[in-house]
Amino acid sequence: MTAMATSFPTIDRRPRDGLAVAGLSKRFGGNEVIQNVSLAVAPGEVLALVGPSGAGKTTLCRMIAGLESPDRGSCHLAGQDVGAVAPGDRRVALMFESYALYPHLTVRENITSPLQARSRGRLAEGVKEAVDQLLTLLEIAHLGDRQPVALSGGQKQRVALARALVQNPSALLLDEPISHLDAKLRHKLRGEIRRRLSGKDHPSIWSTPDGLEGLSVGDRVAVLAEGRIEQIGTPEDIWLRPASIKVAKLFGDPPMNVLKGELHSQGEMSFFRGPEVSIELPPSLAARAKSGADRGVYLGVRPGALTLAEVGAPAGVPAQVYSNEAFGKHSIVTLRTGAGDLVKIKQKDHVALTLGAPVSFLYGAGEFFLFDGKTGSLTT
Amino acid sequence: MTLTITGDVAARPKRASWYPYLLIAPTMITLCVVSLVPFIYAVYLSFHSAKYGRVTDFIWFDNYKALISNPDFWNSMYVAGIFVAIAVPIEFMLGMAGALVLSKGVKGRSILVPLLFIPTMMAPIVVGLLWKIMLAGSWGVLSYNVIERFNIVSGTSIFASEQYALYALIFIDIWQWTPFMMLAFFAGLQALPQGPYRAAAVDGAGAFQIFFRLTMPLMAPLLFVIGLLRFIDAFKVFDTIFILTRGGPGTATESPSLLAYKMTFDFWNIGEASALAVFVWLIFFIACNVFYQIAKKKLNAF
Amino acid sequence: MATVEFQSVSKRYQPGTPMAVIDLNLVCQEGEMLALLGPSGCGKSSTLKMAAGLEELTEGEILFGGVPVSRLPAGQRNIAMVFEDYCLYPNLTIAENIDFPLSVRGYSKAVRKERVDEVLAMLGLTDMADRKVHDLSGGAQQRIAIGRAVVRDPALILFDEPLSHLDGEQKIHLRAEISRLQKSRGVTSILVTHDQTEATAMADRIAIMRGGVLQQVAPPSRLYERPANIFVANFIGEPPMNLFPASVSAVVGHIDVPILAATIAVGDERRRMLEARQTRDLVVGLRPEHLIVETVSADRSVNAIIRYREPRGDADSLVLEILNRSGDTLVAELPGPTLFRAGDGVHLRIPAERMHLFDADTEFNLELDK
Repeated sequence: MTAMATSFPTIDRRPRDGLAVAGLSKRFGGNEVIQNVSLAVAPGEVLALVGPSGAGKTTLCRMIAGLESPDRGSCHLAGQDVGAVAPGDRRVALMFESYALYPHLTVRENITSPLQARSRGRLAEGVKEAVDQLLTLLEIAHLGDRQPVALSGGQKQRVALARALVQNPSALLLDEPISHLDAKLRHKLRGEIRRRLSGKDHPSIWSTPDGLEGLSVGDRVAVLAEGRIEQIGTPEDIWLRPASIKVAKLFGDPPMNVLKGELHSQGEMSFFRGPEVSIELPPSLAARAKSGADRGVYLGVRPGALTLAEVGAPAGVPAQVYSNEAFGKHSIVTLRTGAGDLVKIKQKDHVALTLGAPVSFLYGAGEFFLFDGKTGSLTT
Repeated sequence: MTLTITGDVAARPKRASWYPYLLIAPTMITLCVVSLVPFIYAVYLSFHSAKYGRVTDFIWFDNYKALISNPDFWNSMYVAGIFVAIAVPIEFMLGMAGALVLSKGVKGRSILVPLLFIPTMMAPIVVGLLWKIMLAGSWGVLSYNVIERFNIVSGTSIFASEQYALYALIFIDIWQWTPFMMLAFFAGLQALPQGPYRAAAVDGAGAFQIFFRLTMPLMAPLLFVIGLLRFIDAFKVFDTIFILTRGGPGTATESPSLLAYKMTFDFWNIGEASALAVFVWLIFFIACNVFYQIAKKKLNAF
Repeated sequence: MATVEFQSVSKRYQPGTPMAVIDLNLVCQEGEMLALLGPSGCGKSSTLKMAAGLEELTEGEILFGGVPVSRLPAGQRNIAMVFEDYCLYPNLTIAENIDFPLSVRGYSKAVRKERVDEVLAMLGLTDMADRKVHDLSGGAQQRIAIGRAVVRDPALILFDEPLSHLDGEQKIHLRAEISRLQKSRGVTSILVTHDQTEATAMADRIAIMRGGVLQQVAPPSRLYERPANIFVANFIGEPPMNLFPASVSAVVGHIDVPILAATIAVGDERRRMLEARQTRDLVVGLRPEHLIVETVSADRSVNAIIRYREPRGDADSLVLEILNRSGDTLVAELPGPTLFRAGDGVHLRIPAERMHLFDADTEFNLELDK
């Protein structure tokens, strides 16, 4: 119970005892895949590394593990500069996205292989129990004596995950650890593994392309896009104050709607003018709006803040139904506006709609995000 | 939050850059001693007057001039050309057909595959002697039962026939190398991705369409490499010819390798023989490069 | 266009191994998108492969538009298929890939060009038509595969886990696009997936399978509102439904829920139903989003503490430990972000009208006919 109560560690532990990378850069051919990345993860902390595929998550993990050498920058593990330390001596546990299981070993042998390598073949006491416990947690207890070739993708992923979790490393790097599992198991493991990691004395990085998974598992979330860190913060920070459009578009199911337009002020009131719409901005945003008057901006609205309305409703924006997906507890309606933009609306109840039928929708009174028209970063 | 940053990140010790070279050094040294040094010596010889084991004057291109005006040289090129042009395509087609049959999962494949290796595994001397006996005079198994019966060559061995000796040698080469091609193509077929075949089955493609529009293009890089190897190998053919006909009758089966051998050890004209070796090497070098460039462009291979 | 009918279809891969599909009876209506959904090994892929002609039936028959097809090879069934790993022809360009099904069937040049151009335009790939396919992203490859499937206007398109190799935004985008294409062309389709979100978003009806046995076939909303049994209830919905044992109470019109230490009134209609069924042992199901979590104690509320909070953006899911002897847990989902933190004490209320009632022995929903 007490362990549960402290499952939200703040960054009071010194990061130099955990993992710290500074100014890391890496170039492959003409592509700078990692650009000046700095981040620190404390022992027992889980940093969720969120980014679309190709953002450089895997490369970053491989550099920390020592499998790629950075062009510039440093990497510290437990206070020690590991730039010149060989991968085997860094004691970093890396779970490969591609699993990298040994085809000639059984599931159980695969899981204990890193321990065996370090202890010259002899396994410490209690390892068998630890492996059994992991196999049960991951629901692959019945597969212990099979070889990887007889496993499905999801099962292989769990073996690779078990192999990473059984170690006692200086840092644990999980590269998309649960991406190929079904929804229910993902839900279970997000919680279970996250809680396990919080009780450990090593830092952990959990990389995922799924923004919501990042929010769920991370004490903090680092957003990587095109090799650059866009934002690092708590899940609440990321959700309530996304630093840029790139960040905003990664989080949310479905992601935020973003419209391009301009700001105008009329006396005390401020308006966003976009294609075919003019939206009055709430007072909180109006102050910012005045300073950046007549500049190009992006307006972000979460799908949950929009509502469907009858055709011709006052202040309603006319649109056509593009698709209508019912998910039980909510439904997602995609509309195509006159300007050709696709706008997504998330609503609690499912309404039967004909594809192509004319409707209109309303922008709610608040919950807007304003992003700079040039840089795409959140205006504050 | 504080980050530990080391003073001069650029000065971080680089992993020793000579290490990879150390690893490949033994191979490279062996390769130099065994193949590069003799080759350079051959080039050296080809520019010198070297007869009867004495290397004397530097004579520029005289050896090459002599070679080009030597009808035996052009004859050897013609022999090798015919040999390659007939043997390699037939080996290719038979090999591919056999590989397709094997990949369809014939019964007893595990017994068949080792058996198929026998001709390729045999020492060329043995192959030569074997066929010499089978096609000997008019009493060899094949001479008596086939060649005599159909009146192709009578009274003597087929190897003594100016008209047919070369074709007999081609036949033996096909016998020897088709199984190898078959196994190489079979391995290639096994390694092809299965996905496109599933798609083609659903798309309604027939067996011929699947073969010509899917299998052949997907196998192209392998076909190319094997083809090139066989081309080089067949062009250089020496051992079976040496055993069976020694280039005869006359010069009917005198391949470039055999001609070089005769120039060197029968006539002791080492300079001109070296020129021939360098010339043949040059042909291969140019042909390989042309092939390689085509392959790179057309096949997206390598 | 055609209906697809599975009649008592069974599949066993090797003698002595368990059946992969057991006595499947299922009809896919004309123009419908039917999803086969279930955990891995449930027989959904085997079913699809049998429909495609890539696997033979052990027993039963499959009818396309009333015509038995189980003896026809895949190429003669007038179907198209979209594969999990795209299965494009790596040696061909985008346009050639889309053209392949037409050209192998001997369509005329003019028709081929017209159809291919139309599909390229529809997918927005006209400018890339002559590019080779092997260095394209997964999303782009799958779009080409979809183009190759629709180009011939087949009677049936089979989608085998079409989105499982794609990530986030590509997935959401392509899933809407497939739905649109399928609806606008009105082509009968069967979708195999392990992802309930995908199935719900794309399918008109979902067939849920488990261990080779069909569990329930219904529109997505019906599966959510009235799951046929405990397996379906637990499988559909994320986070999964809370399930806890209960029994008919001695108090008339009530049920006892021991782990909540609560007796809950079920209303007249359910009382009559329970009496008619003479069921005593029940399983109560409650979806996480229907559980009411409050900071102040209300009448009949249950005390719990938050063990773990999982932020999900516009919702928070909370793992709650009920304060009783055994330390049972429930999952609740609230619109978020909330101010709750791990360790907070809260009070739960169970909305009786949102409860699902299952028979503890048969695991069937007691109100399936409603």
